[in-house]
Amino acid sequence: MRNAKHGTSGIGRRDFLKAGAAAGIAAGLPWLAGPARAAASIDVVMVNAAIGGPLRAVLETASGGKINDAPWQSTTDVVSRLTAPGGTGRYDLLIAGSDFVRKPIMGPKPGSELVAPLDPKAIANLSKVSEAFKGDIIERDGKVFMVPVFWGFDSVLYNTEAVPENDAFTQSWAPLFEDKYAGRIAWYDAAHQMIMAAGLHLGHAKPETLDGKDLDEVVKFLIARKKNIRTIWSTFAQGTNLLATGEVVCLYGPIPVRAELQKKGFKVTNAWPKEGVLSFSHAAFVPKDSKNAAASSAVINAMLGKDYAGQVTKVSGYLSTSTEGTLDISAEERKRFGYGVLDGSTKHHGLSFPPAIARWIEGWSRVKSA
Amino acid sequence: MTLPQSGRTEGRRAPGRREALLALPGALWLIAFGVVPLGFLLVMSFWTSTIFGLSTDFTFDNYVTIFSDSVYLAILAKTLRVALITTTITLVLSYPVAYFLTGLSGRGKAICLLLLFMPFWSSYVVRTFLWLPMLGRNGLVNTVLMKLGIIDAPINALLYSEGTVHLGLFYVYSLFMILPIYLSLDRLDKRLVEAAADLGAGPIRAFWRVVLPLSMPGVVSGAVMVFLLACGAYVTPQLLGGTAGTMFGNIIAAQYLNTNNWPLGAALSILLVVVVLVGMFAIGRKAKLEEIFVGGRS
Amino acid sequence: MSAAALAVPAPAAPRRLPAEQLRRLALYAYAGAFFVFLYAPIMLLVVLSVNDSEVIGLPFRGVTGRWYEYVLTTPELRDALLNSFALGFASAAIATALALMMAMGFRRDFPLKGLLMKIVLLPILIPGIVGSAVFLVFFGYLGVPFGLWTTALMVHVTWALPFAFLTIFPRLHGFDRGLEEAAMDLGAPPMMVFRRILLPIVRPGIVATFLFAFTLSFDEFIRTFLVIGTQRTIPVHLWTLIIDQMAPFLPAVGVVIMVVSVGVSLAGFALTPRERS
Repeated sequence: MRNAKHGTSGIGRRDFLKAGAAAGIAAGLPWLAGPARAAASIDVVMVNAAIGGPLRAVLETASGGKINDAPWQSTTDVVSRLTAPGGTGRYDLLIAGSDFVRKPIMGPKPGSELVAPLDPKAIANLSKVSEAFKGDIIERDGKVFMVPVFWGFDSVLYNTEAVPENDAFTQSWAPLFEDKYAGRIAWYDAAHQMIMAAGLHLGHAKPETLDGKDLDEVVKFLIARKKNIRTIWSTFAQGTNLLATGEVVCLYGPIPVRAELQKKGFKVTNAWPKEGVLSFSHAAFVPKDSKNAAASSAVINAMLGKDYAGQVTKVSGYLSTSTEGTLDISAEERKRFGYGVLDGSTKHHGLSFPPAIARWIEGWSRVKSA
Repeated sequence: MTLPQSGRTEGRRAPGRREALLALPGALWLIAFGVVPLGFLLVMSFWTSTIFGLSTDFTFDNYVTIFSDSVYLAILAKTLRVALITTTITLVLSYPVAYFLTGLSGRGKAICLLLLFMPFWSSYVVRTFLWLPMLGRNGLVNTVLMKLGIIDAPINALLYSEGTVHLGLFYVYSLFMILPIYLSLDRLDKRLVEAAADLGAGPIRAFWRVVLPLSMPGVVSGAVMVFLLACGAYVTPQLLGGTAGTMFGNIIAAQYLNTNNWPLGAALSILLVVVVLVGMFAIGRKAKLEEIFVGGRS
Repeated sequence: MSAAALAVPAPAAPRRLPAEQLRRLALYAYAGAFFVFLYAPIMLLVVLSVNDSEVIGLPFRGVTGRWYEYVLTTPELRDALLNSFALGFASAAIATALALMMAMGFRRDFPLKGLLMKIVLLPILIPGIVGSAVFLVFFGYLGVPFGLWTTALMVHVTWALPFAFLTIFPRLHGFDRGLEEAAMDLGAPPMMVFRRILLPIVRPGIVATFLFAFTLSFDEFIRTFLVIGTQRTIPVHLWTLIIDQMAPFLPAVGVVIMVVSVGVSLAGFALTPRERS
């Protein structure tokens, strides 16, 4: 049988590999044998950037638990996870776009909620939610189910070395659609956001109401302008990377991308389009079968507290829904971060839920496959 | 020339009849985690998605949507084309590597096999992502070409094109082609080649008439694996395809990750599975799937 | 033809023609080019892992060790590595065992064999993202808690099993049964026939299958992603780094993973029992 084995045998090989393996294992063992994680954990789905840097420690100290954040995909992914069979028992805390999640998680009638009412005593900071976001606190029958914890906006992000800043063209949604930066533009793979932006660019005052023929016009417009774009990004990091590597000079962008790039010294900023930035808030809610509701409430409470609210913008670019968030921020910073949205000095348009969402999605599929 | 075992008679199977029972645990596993979940998916494809979750009323709505909207069918056709091209490229480029490996022995073989496996032990995700710094406007390839004075401006088409998807898929799936071809070449009796040579066949003729036919099980197995993996590709077109990159896997993924329409995703999946199955039957000469996968069985 | 005859190394042919040497040279050159293609991005990965730049890409801005320092002093990568290795070993072992048994069973004829052969292929035919979603819903309805040792293990074994089977079956099928049957006829118990005759011959196949299954599991992303809960395997960890951060230390993570994998695979090769003569 001897000859049957030549496939893997070799006299010298074994000793040679053994020595290498032994050295490798010896070098790697101390590191691999590190301590196991603490047992108590709060399972969370949220934009991971909003728990970056010092923020995680703030929330873990306040709640006494270890936060386990699953990889973020999108708001609709959060809804998918929650509405999946058994989904209401898999996570302790979810944070996603308020306008989008409201209907599906609250259900059509009282009692059909997929989330648990929150204990107001555990969230003493609820009173600190600023006036502008009180409407995003979702109650039913006097019980609170959802609390807005941070907010943000989408805009055109651009490389200031390639795109002039004080330029009417730049300060609009036009750079994403017109020929000027052809081949150096990136869109976002999201039906809702892209059709809203194109709608604003085409002069629709309430693009969220687009449907029928008007919607078709916008879709046709996007298909016609698709020739100008380099790619369509689908994750924050992809967008970040596109700008950082010089692959594109402007893109449809969420604000954590700008924050990340600026922190690292890239010459990138966001436009303040004359049609308005697209604004939204993210709300926190606790799935009804969570075993950790108390700790989750503590996290929500901490997110509205001074430690978190005061740092979230510098870490992630998102802005706090708590009045604590603006206390230590200068007037210049307020303007640069986007707080002008709240006092009306910065034009914005709510990223409202479009009633014809199914047709928007179908239209966007046509754009992508055109 | 036929495979050694092909002359075996069927008369001698009686003594080990119980041996067939060995297939049972694997079979049960595959039924529990392969057939049953897929059946569940089929059922779900007749449901619909509402804003408050799934409606379980039986309806053909999803299939009507798919077949009345040219978008889905166009992407399906494109996906099959991309998968076919990728498979062809991978086969042509991988076969010589497998052949090369078979010719080695001892330590050289062990090292080359190790070298082949090593990149695949980093990660698919990273190895796909790496083509961005390789092929981007400021990527390695463009930088080198510009330094050498071969081009004046970065070539945009290197990245975010259908060609990039082929490249990316080849890069991550070539092992799936090389390994089965190597395994079937490796158990090929080299004396058959020598016999062919002794009978006057030139090396090229010997290759075409002896080596290649005898390695067909590996070729078919590898080609089918790569084709199937390419049909279901998601990460590669997502990261590298740009505006040309949408494939069927991305459309299906979108139903679960972006638009929360699981029943439509289920219907699209069923369609893809059906198309793939039909394709397999069409490819197999005798329309027997198992012969494709363990090709060479007599 | 006996099994022993199958894998005889080609004897060095004294009558080799220049043309054949040329072909050989071309083959070696091609293989060299292929390995360059295979390793060029890996080399770039190594370069980028020490690049003192906040962006993953060129130009090269000087050497730094800070990415490695960060990666090796934070627990995320270590945890993901331990998870991936444990899961890879477990699912490769289960898949290889099931595949070997199945391949042996498949040498016999039995009812519904043709159908079962098709069922074997099913997990391959289901596109990754569908496989993932299907398990998400399936395990959800069954109430199986998401995690490494529950859903992820089942998904990985199911994914690796067909490949393991397809890798090992041709090996097992490719040699003559005469010896085995002779031994059986002489009254050797099945287990002994397996250990003394079958196992030595298919062992290289088993090793290859195990490594292949491990590779499949270790690199599995899309099927794992939706059902892993909050735990991380290496690909899921990397996806997070790509998806939600620009993570300039990503190349360092990639390099560490490679180094550890190679170390472990070397150990695997070395610890594989040397075959008895």
